[in-house]
Amino acid sequence: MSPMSPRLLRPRASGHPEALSWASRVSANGGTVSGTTLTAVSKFCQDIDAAGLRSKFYRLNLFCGDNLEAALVPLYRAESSSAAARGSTIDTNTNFVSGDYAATASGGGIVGNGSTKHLDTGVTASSLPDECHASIWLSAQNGTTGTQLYLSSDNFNDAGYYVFGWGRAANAGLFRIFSTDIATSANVSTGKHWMGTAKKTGGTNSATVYRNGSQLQQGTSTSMTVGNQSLFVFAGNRKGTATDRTIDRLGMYSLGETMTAAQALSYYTALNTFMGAIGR
Amino acid sequence: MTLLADVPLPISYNDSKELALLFAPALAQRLAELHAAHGNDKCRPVPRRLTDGRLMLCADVLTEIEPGGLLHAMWEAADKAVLMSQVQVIGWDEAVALLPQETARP
Repeated sequence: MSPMSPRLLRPRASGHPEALSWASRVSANGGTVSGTTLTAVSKFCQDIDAAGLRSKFYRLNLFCGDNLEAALVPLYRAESSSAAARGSTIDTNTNFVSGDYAATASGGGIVGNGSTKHLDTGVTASSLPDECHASIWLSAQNGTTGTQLYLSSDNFNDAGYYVFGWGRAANAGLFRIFSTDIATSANVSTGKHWMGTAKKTGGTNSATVYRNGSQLQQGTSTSMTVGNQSLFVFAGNRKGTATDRTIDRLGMYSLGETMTAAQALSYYTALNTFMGAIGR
Repeated sequence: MTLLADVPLPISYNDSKELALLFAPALAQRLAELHAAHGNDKCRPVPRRLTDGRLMLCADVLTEIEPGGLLHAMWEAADKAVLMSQVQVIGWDEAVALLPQETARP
């Protein structure tokens, strides 16, 4: 009788290739991932692929895993698994500690302190496509005053300054596009996934705000030359200096190409399914 | 004046968030040198400058100095005697009040 092939005895890792790649990078970063989370990440990847959305993402981090080291590793680092990676290998962490990360408590994700903490994606505003998106998942709003930035860069104090990204002004969500801030008509706490799409060329209704996958409002901006500051998370990057740090808890962020209204809804549906699967 | 030597270690995350560590620019420079030699992008302790010129970190960085912590290697390489005697500890709200006002949007 011939010996059993060793391949039959070796367990095969199952799941979406990009989820498995992410898990491997998490391990390389000193993090760990539960089977439940890996299954949920794999399902998210499958849902994104099925919706034809994978090419929309230049970078996406679901802020998940067993610990902060895992949460710093983005799932997507380019518009495809074979494209050249954009931004930092991990979200470069300034001053966050392990206790700032919660897998599920308080809505899950990473919480800022409004004073000292931020992440650097390494993705510059100028590297985003002419028609682009930025999104965040607000796990918990921890205050109602002041301007706080979630995912942003700008070059204030320069002539013809630009801004890009998300934040809140007191309670109102704030989508910052080039020369214009769109203050949303709804409090930021009324939604979880906030996405803005924008055209760098500006124009009437050149920006659209989506709340939980549904269009909330549109805005108009002027054409702007976007600078090469990288986008910070939990703060804005003002020419290399973190500003307007948030005290809120974020559950994910993404950057990339623009989406249609139908695509925005599909994206939110996939995210919401993921968040539910990991207990958030 | 409360110094780092007066803080019982290890300290819990919830307790540490209520405190801030204050130190002179020379110690901040040493912190940067330690990070360059022993740290990485998983945790960069970068202090903020207060209006009186001192540098400030949230004391929750102390939760990462134990074995397995993100800052353990830096802590092991640091001169503990210097840190214990030269780092002042105050309440977090008191430290935040000393941060410079951020430039308002035009």
